[in-house]
Amino acid sequence: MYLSGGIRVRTEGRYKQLYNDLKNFVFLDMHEIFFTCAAIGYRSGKRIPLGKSAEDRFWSDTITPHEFAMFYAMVAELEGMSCQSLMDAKSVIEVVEEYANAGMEILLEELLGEYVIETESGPVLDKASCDELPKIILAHIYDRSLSETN
Amino acid sequence: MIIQSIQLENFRQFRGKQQIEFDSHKNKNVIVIFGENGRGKTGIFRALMFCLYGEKKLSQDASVQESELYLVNTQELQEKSSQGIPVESCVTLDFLHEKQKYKLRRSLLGILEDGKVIQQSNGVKLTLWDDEGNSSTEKDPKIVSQYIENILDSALREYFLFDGEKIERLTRASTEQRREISNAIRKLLNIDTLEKVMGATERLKKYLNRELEKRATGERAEVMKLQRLNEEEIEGKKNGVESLRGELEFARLEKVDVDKKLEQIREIQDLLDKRNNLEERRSNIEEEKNDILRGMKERTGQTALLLLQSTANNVFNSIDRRKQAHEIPSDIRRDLIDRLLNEMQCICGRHIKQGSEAYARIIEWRNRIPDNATEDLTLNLWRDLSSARDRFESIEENAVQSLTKFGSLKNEQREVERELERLREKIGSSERADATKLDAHRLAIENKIGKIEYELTVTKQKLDALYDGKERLAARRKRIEDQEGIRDELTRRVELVEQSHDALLKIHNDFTAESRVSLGDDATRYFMDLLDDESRRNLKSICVEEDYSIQVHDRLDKPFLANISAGQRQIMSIAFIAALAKAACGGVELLEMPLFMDTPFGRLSHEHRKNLVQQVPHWCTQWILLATDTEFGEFEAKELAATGTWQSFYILHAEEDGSTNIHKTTVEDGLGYICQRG
Repeated sequence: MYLSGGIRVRTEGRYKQLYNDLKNFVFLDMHEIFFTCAAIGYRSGKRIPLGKSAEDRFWSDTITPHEFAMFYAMVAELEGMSCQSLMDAKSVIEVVEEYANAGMEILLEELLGEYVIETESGPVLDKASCDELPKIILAHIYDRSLSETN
Repeated sequence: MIIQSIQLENFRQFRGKQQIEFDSHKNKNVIVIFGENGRGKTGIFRALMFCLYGEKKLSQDASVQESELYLVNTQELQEKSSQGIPVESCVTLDFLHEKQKYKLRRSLLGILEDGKVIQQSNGVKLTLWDDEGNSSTEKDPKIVSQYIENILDSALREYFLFDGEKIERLTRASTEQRREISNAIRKLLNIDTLEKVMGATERLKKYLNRELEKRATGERAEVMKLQRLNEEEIEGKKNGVESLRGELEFARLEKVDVDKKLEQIREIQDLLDKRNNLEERRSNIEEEKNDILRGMKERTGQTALLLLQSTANNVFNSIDRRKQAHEIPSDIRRDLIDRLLNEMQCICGRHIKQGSEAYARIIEWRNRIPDNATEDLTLNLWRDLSSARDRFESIEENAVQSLTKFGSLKNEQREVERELERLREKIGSSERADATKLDAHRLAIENKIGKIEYELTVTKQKLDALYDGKERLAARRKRIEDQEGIRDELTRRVELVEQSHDALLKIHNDFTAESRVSLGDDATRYFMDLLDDESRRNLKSICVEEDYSIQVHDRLDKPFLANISAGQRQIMSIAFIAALAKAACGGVELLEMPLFMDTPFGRLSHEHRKNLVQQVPHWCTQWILLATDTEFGEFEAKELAATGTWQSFYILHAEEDGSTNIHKTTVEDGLGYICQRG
């Protein structure tokens, strides 16, 4: 495999609770949330470097081969299809982290706004209103993917 | 009393002055007052009661506060009160009684203040004419009241109105029925004073016995103490029996109520079944939705792969092109080229010179070939992207399937909710619990009834034993007193009081028994007049039992009340009220009082209805039939017209302002009106 794992994947500290909530209500694991955000950020051409409050969120070992392939594809595409740039796995993850950071911002802005409550430590899911959130997020991703293929 | 006319002015629904006339045709004595519900049919009887007795409430208004019962016409009140003018509401009654002419006018004033109706009495005036036509007037309410009481005792006034509720009340075997009949008999016999004296002798007897007990000694004292305890126990058991009867009746009423609900449920069983199915479907939908949501949770991460389809394709195609061009994996490994360059020798064995064209081509070739690690990574990436691309279609299909299924479940859920709402409206209140619960409740009531009946039997047996004990104790005491020759003053007084009390009790019992028999006989006669032929063959009599309940006996003289139909029960009630009215009129064959019947046809069959319109005109001097269109249709109108007793027809019309106008027509026009409506 092209990555041996052991890399700590980071997100903004303020998204800590939101990642936990989404993991409980919408996704199976952290890496899926991270991947979704990264894909949204990348498709929107938006990347936001992590700030000082960034925190380790999960280990890279949990990322699936398909997700990794997509991360590498993103970076390869960015680097003019040069695979040389993929040799440093940590650099690849760092790039993807920036996209994931932007992706979460977009997700909050476009979709999650009405399902979260803003707290001092960051946004958290409003549990009372998120019964159907898996469907809402799935539909959102699917709609975005249609505009992607079109 | 024969009413000649009744004038209403701003009374209840009747705005302005309106009048109903009663012509004095001896053989044409039926007046039909026809109107929809709420138009004021009962208001006519109410007007009569108000005029005669100043009464604002009828027995049917028991649950209504007098202050909430408005006699003054509200439309007039609203109009006049805006100008600060009070409204006078009055009823004037012209009538004959024992050939003397009377005119009675009673009024009240009403005003609307801050949205509240304030009503106050505005006097009464009675004018009488003697045989020579000279009139005298009386305005003192007390004296007027005495005059009217002499004509018809106010306690008996309501026996001349047969309303549906009263008829229904008497059809039920209940304490209420017994109480109503017992009260009626007591009122008819006017035995209040007798009962007061009986109460006084009872109290005196107890007092004297206590005094005697204090003075008594030895076995006599012991017996007297036992007598006192026996009396107390009898009193307690009597109360116990009464209370158990109340409980029993309550439980039976509850059972009737549950049966009615069950019947209603049976009527709506289809709707309930449908509701149950829909509720089950709603619950299944919720489960299915949750399953799909759980499935979605598993798919969301994968579905996000679709967001990068074009990137995956681009990179995959790029690598694939390089593969096709044999750039990767390279035909010759980079380490082999490095060895050639080190040895400055071509694969074919020729020597290569540095700076030659061949050397330059080998260098260029070497630069094009990636290092092993990069090449491995690129090939892995190609493979994984290929595998991911293979999955795009199925991921998309799954996502679409989940979303479509979820969407259709949501639509179905909305439809189910709408349908449930419609059913809820059709089914009605939430009190209609489901049949299973009601059945269980009914069973519990039945058990309770069984238990109370058992307790009642046991208590009655104990009571009988106590009465036996009472007799034995009395005999024992007498024996002691005879043996000891005790004949003091106090003992004699006790004996005297006991004898007086027993005598009064006998008079009371004889009097009421006689009255019960007489009421039963009259009710039976009316009952037979009204019954259809078949019922007449099967049923023999109505009688008032010792506990004042009504019983119907069949031709074998067996109690048969439990088996008669609802229609026969209604006929029984009408016959009984007529018997009460007859008794109230002093037992004369022809009731010299107007008989008001408010919607009496209810559950009656055609033949019973026919008998009613044929017979009642012969019972009384005036029959005022208050009817709605569902009660008095073509059939009843034609039957009544055929009797030749129908005098006039009044229609209560609704006016635009909500008040009622009394419109008089001839019988012919009335008949035409009814037939046209039918």
